[in-house]
Amino acid sequence: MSSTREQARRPRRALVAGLCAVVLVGCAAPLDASTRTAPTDRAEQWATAYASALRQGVFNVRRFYDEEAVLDLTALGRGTASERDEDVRLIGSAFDVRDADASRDAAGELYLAATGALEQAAFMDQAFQAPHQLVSIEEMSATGIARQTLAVSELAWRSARADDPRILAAHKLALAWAAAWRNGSTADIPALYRADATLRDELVGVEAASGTAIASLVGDRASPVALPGFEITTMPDLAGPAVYVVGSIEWASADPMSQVVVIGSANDGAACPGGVAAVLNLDGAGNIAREQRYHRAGDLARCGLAGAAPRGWWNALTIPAVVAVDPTGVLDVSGQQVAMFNSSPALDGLVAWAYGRFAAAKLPPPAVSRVTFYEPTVDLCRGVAGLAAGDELSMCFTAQRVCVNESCSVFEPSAKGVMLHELGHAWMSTHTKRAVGEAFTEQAGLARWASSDVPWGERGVELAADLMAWALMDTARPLSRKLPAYSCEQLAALYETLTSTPPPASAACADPGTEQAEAPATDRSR
Amino acid sequence: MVMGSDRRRAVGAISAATITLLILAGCGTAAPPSDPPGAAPGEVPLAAPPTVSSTPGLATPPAASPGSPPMGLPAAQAYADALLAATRRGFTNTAPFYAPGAQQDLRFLVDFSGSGRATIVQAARDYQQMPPRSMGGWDQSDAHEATRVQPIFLGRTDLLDVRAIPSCGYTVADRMTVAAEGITRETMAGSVDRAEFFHSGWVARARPIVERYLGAWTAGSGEAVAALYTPDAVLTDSLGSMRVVGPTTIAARAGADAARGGLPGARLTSGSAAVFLRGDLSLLGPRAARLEGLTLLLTVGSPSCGDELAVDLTLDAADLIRGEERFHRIDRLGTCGGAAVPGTGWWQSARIPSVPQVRRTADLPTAVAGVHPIALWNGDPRVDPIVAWARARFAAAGLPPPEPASVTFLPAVPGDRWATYGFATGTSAIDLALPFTADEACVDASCSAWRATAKAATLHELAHLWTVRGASPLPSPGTWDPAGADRAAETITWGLMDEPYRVDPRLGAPSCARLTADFETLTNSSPVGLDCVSPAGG
Repeated sequence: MSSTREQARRPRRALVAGLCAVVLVGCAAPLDASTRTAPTDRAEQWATAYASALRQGVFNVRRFYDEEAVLDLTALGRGTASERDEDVRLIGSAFDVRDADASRDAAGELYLAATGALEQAAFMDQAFQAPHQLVSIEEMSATGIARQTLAVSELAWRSARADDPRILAAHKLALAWAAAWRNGSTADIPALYRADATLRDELVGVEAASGTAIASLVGDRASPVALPGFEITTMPDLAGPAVYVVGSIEWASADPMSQVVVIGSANDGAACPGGVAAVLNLDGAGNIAREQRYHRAGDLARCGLAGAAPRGWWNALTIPAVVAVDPTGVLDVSGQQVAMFNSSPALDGLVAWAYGRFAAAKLPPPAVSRVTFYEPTVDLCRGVAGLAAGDELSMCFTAQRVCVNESCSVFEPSAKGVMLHELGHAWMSTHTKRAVGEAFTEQAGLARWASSDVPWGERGVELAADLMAWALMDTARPLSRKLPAYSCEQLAALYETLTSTPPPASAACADPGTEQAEAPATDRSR
Repeated sequence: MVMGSDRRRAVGAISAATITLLILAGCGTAAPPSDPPGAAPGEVPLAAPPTVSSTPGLATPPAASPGSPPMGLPAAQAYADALLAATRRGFTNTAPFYAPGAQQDLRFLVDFSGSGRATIVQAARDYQQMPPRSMGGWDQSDAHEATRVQPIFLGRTDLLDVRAIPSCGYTVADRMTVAAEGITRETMAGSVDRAEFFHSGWVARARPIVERYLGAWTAGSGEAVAALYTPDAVLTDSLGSMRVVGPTTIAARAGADAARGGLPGARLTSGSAAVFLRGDLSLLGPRAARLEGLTLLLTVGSPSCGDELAVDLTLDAADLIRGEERFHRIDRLGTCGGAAVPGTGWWQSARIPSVPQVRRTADLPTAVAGVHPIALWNGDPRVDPIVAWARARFAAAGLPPPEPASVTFLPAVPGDRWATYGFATGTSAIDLALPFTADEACVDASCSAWRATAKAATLHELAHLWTVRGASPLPSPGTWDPAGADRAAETITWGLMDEPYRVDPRLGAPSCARLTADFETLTNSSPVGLDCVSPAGG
């Protein structure tokens, strides 16, 4: 990944992170419907949300699938899965989604049918890292993706399997199909379609159930499925024609390609119907048995193809939150009920341990209503280890990442430190009066108690939270190196100013200049 | 030649073990140690502290040669300087220095030996940059930032140039036999630090040979000198007009002064690497790690009036010397301790090539993640896009576009431009050449279009690379005979052209149907050309 590309991405990431933070902390509700400008925009929002969720961790896409969704990665040599959790595991093992390009949040061209969609895949496969090499064919249900099949571009297929003769047949089929519909020529239809072939274009309301019926549609230039002047799209970046195939990679077994996808554009003189994709399901002899049409979302309204308000799967579907937030229970600590999300018994234990440290120091408990744990890959956690917003905490680690032993009875000290730091913020939000904060800031020689106008390390509130983590830890924990250095005596005095109690005896201290352990990851608090 | 499907691997023969070690060796490592590891006090130091620490850039003028050539030898100096300058500008510029049938032995450095100008220059493009391309290295300068660390050494037929390659952390003793048609033979020996890395046994084995050699000659002991050589050994000093055969005859020189074949007071030259090894770098098989010879840089005689020699020793399996050749440092010739200025030598007939130089002018992005841009040499904004155009034609047919490392637009020269600049068509080389420049390719002064011949030539060369890299469904393109490879390239060219194109008539008169069928066989795709034109019509 080039540095230029990385730099270009940063502002966008920051923006996305900010937006997601609002969504995440506030709720896990569907996207705001008021932003929609066309009925099918909701489909595009769904696709964008899927891409964004995937980029932030494969675990986030689980809610985008129906419980019994089938994931077909046959064309990638990775088999199929037929249950939601299996699907997610397969995606996680097959693709590198963590490095997926953030620009995919703005999903590529989306092609729609009433029951499905076709789009550039948001995956990055080891073998197919260049753009435009994979498309995702999705059958939708009211509960999400019911079936997802990945198809590989013909160029990518040749690149990986140059000697597979089936790709020539698929290539010729695509060319012949395009030529027939472009020219309205029925002569080749019997050779292309089975006699009992079907053609469905749900959005324009056309369904044909025989080769003869299809031939009549081909020959009818006024038909809503006519494709005058159809040209196969040439993809950018030398990615070749927009022709994709699905088939077993074990071509020596003579299994024919099962599907050919052709994406192109037709022009009746008014640039309509515009972008069209056809998924051609083939029989064992390589003839088209079933054809499903999809329309480029942007062209549906422009060309008036499906009326003013085309109906489809997008009308029934709720767009899941981009980042998965699942309630896992309510924790009763120090007489408080804390709602836990994405937690586990071990993480619950970590929270309880941290509350216990406050009690041991004879401090009243922090007032927290909600703690949510996230994978550090989510946008919210970019560059931070934890966040506190009022009485809600967001912790950027999961049990798998911070457990020291298999039973997770011991945590990484850094995780404990971040937990105490964020609880420290929550504690201060209810127990630290303004005057105390100002006195503390002045005593520490800092300019401001809390302001985004000054660097993190120069905020009194951050020093105070880290000071509490230092004092309440059960092992030596130096302050963050981003904060000024203080002597042990100064730290003790600051702690007393903040809490009106001396530091616990367990607070280990080493004066500046002496060897200390590495400071924990930084955090961000609001 | 390796004809693998991966272009990164299709750059020539190099053993896996060597690759691994080259990776480990890396470049840009610390300067070689001043003493070999494990050297005990009093042992002969095989590597003197380096004197070169800077890495001159390409814009740096040729390295100044310490000392001045004596009268009569500026041609030799100029030749060596011109070759070094060409090396630093780009290996393609060194091609005209080589005789068409030149032989090259780089086995000690990169496990390569070969013959023929194109093969030699391509080996330089592939290997003489660190790390080599076969291991992911991608020095698109295709040049050496080598620095001469000693004045050149001369024999009557040979030039020996000692150069440090700072980026790789070692020094080479490059011995070249030069004739009127150019360099006919080249062997590079590597400094001790190179040897030490690859095989600890190398230095351990070389050390006693050097110690025995220096001990015997400096002591002037005929018996000890005779014991160094095989019964049929030959000692040659072409500038000293000396050629003696057999250990007894050689031993008779033991006590002589330098002018008569002795090496009084000989010691390894200080100030740069002084011991160079050559042999077979292969770590597997019967040739494994065989030490075949040594090159020693010696200072002979008194400090005030001594000579500087390069001694090239050829060893047998028992480490006895089968052959010894001595070369004289150019700045010592005609001085009190050196040999007389020679009246004749290779420099009298060798000519510095006068063909136009090539230079890198642009980089063409490949638009493929992880694939390096294509370096364009001697390009021109009017003609550079023809490479992208040709690659796009492959993509239009659904074929993965070929990914050459570089494309050089060859200027016109007397004779064959490919041969002059060390290129060959239809090989596994990933450096391509196109036999035209912008002026030749453009149909008019504004270059509103390219000539069909230029477009076809571009497609043709890319098609060669495309088939050789295994993109074609046909197996083992490396086994095709040249006519078959040309027919394949021409057929692909026909199928990808964007204007009517008649295939090379030397391929016969295939019909359109035949061309189409051949194209499909070669590519598993269909021609994207316009209306068919074939020599047979139809």
